[in-house]
Amino acid sequence: MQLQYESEYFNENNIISNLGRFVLINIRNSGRGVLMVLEAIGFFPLFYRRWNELIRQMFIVSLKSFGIVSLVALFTGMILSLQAGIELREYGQEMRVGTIVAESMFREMGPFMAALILAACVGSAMAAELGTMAVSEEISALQVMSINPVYYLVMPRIMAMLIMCPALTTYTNVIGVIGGGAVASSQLDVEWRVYFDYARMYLDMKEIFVGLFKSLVFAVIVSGVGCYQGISARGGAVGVGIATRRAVVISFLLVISVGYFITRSFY
Amino acid sequence: MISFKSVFKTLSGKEVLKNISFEVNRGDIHTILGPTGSGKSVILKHIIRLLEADNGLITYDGKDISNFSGVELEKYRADFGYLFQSGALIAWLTVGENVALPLIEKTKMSISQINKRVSDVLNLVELTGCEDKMPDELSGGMLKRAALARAIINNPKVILLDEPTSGLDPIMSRKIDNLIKRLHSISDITIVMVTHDLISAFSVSDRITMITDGAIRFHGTVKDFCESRDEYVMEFIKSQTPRHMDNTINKEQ
Repeated sequence: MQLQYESEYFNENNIISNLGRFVLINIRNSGRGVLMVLEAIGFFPLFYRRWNELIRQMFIVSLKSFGIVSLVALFTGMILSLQAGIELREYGQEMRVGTIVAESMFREMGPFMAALILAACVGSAMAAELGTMAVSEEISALQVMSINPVYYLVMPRIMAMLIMCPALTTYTNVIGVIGGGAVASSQLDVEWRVYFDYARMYLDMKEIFVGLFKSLVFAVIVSGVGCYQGISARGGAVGVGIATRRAVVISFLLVISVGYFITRSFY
Repeated sequence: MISFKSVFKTLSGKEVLKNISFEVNRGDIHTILGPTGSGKSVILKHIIRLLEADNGLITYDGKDISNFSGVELEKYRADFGYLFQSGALIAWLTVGENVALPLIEKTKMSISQINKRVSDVLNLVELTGCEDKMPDELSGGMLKRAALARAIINNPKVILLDEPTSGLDPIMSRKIDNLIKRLHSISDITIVMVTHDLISAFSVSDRITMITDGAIRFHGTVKDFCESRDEYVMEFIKSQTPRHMDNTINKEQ
């Protein structure tokens, strides 16, 4: 498959043709990106041959995002608890804050926050690493040796993300709920036991599985966009910079929009 | 062995190859010479099918290479070793792992056989004991030799060398030239070398093709090249001849 990014030279005088070209280029690149991801998924049965790289990528995904995921999850839970708790206290229902925090975290905020952090920390690193390989001809060297870059580079990255993203999402959910509990007990005078009872009361398996399903979809989006932008980078250091920026921006937009449509389809 | 017939290529709106026709004979060291940006590396990329010609025909042993796909293309590429200008070693693999990569991924050789072969090839390029070094620990000359070791690890029939002496000091450049000659004498493989280094071209080549602005300016033996009356060829030779040698040549004439 062709992995070159479509060049974006426009005619300065013709707005209509520029708009048409912009749309065509983006449709074509989206199609190529989707084909690359599908090709990588097709290589999943051969993961044992890239076992070392898979472990290395899983380590990178977890190590690069663990600290910031912990902090963001904690404060997200605290903010949710504080905002909801203050309103609920008006009606004397502050004990129910656990339900709101748990539902929000497991259904929406956990997968969403984890995906955004992974896009910023890991997706960008994937784009930069593969982009550097592309501009320094390392990817061409693989092609010359008849080693498919999608099998060798993209497959372990997407697989590592698919394994680690749900794990990090679950961790985000748990830390978020604990953060919410800390605020509930210290500022809303809700006991820990009551907070957790209400958190568990309305949290059913559907919420948990929809959240995990989202995290799997976001894992493919973040790693797929990062790898495609990197592998199709051209033009030296500037090209790598552009690829990295695009990887983060496109991942953010896709995570937000796809997240909405998944929620809508399940509820 | 390798033949270009009326090949044209346009990249990003610029015509980089214009009606290129030449042949590389089996067992020759064929140098493609020319200034920077003249389209030399693009020719190598066409040979290995990293780029496709817009027009024209490229054949290998009489077969049109544009017809190769899948397993056929893989078999075709297995006949080639390619030394990239930058070396293009994978940054997170050691020198030994980089050199072994084609064998690990594309053969069923045992680990001990691979280690033996890697050690032999590293000896050949005078990098004995560098198996465990990382690419960023190597000097420019060592990096080129490690990349050359990777290019020859699977006993290719043709080696494509993209600027093998660029960025190296003259002594290291001559070492690389000698290494190329030694490789050629050991296995009698065909070598296609792209360079703008005239000393390197003169010391190793059987035939020279000179490219300027994507078109062929000269094609022939080294002797023919030296005797050429083409203005650009004469200027190119003169520009790389040290001034005191230039005076000596003038006096002799």
